[in-house]
Amino acid sequence: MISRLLIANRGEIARRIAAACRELGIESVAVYSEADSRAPHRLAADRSVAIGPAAAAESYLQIGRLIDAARQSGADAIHPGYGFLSENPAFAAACADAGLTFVGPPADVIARMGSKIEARRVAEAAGVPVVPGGTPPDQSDAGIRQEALRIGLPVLVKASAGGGGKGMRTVRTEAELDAAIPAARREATAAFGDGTLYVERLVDRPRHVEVQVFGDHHGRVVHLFERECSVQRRHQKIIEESPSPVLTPAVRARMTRAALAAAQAVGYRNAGTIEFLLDGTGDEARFYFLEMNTRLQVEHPVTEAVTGVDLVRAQIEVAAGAPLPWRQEELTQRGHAIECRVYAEDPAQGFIPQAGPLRLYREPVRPGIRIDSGVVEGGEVSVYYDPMLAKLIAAGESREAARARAMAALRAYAVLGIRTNIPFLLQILGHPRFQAADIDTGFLDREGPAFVAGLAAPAAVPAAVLAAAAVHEAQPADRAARTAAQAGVVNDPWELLDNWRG
Amino acid sequence: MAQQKLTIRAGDTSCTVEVLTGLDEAALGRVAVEGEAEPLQVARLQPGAYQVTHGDRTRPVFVAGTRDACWVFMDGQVFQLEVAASTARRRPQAGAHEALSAPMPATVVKVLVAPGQAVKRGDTLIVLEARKMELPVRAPGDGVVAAIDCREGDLVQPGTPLLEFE
Repeated sequence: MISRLLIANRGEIARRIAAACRELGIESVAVYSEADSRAPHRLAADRSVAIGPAAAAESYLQIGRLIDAARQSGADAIHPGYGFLSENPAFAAACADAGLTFVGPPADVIARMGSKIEARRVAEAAGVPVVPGGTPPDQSDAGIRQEALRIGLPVLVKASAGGGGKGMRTVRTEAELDAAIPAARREATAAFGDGTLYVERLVDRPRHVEVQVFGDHHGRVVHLFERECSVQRRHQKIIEESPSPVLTPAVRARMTRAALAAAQAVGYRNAGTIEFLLDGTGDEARFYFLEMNTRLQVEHPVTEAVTGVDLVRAQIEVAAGAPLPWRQEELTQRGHAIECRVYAEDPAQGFIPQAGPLRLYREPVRPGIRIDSGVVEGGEVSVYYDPMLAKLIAAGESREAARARAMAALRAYAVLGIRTNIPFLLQILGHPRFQAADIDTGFLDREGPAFVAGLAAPAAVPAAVLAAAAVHEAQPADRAARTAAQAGVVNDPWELLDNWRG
Repeated sequence: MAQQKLTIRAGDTSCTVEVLTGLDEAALGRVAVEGEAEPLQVARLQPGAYQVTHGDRTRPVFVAGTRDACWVFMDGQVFQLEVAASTARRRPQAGAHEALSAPMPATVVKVLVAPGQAVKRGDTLIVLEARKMELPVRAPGDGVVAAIDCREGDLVQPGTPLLEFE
């Protein structure tokens, strides 16, 4: 039994977890840094504990402070969310040592699957195909270079310690190696505090398809089908969907079987994801094990939309010892869902991250649209954390219906005060190749310049825009309301909670 | 409300707009926009949220900010405008001399150019790092680097000049 759960995270995922706690009748405890004392995630929980300065390394990444916060607030469980400490085996171990239920797999499973070498070994032993590559024992620039040439170009040079595309470089020619190795090492060191590099053969024009798995403490593991996340910019996922538009039933069956084999081989518990590279289409398509994410994924809502389950609630119940709430044969995929990540960045200016006040923030509310967000109007987007503001998930009976819903909702998603990538998302969703599902993980990097050119401001500002601006600026009453919004004044605290729409 | 003539600027372009009637009790107003034959009707729904009827088409438009930095959203697009009483004089255009600054607090990772160096539009001049991501600072046009105001390893704040460019 869990009666009070500490959420070791911030932003949209912390609100998502707090909402699940409310449904389960579990008290939630938020943690917040000095920069987040007025953040919506803090107010979404029943209690909150300050954990230190703004820099994540001194707050959200401090295992000791989080354990202390749990003790201080009387929590008996911790949900790590994604990112931060979610895949840190020392954190899971510290929770266990403190007698706290960790909502996730055991520390040794996180450690095994967190090591790319060990994860590959587990996959290979379970009969799951892997891409050629490895972590060179000689980590000097020359050593990495030699390994890259041994595997054969093109290769990926990436951080051995982490994911999320940080510290990752594509190298197609020998000449590019010299610049790529130190750059990857710098980013790896900055992001993970560990500059160890991993080199792997690059599968040309692959798709990224991953399988959601879920295990309980009673030896059962199920899969919840796949998500396709091929729309990536510099290895960062931007749009995800389920089902994959190209997976045939035969390949889906093989891939989910492989994912279950890998999860069972490692004794997996709780929610996890096995990522694959998909090479080719049709029944002959091949796939390779990429890595396992031993946590909830950012894109979990698309799986929730097509399977009708609540993954976060199941995570908490399973962590408390309950058996899996579903049998494999009960799980089906129905319809189609597309998730768009809304980032505070300016696509017209080289995707520079944006920081500043959210002068106006209105989420579209309509059938088939779910928005998981970490911000509110009048709040401040700070420079300290990930620039993702929200995720917009559109569901419909077909891929085309979901795509049309996503586009209509994004066109009505008003965010003012900082620039967002919404115009860029609209360009992708409207692109004939996205519509035809003719995409691979390199799609955006190849087509990017054309997209950015398409983002240039129109030569003339529409008359309707000018008219609204004129009325707004001529209206003293609005100015007063605006000032209140800018000051972050929220009259009704419950307003802050109603952004979660299950 | 008395009629109000405003000049609205967006980048290099400007347009004169006249508020014929401000919002009445039904929160409806009429605006004449330079170049448009008929006035547009603007209805206020909520603070910052309007329905604008232009000819036979009605669309939602959102507005926030201040006169100097007025933000407008319509149909997935964001516009940044400057609104001024139309008697106000235009601010002088920025000269050819331009300083590039950091968009956010960041660390200078690499300075790739030297004073006097000729660069082309889009060339990477400086590499910053923020939020664990590398951010290239690129040349806004063809030109010459006039001066460099930062060093590798510097922590820079938004607005701090990094490099002068002409």
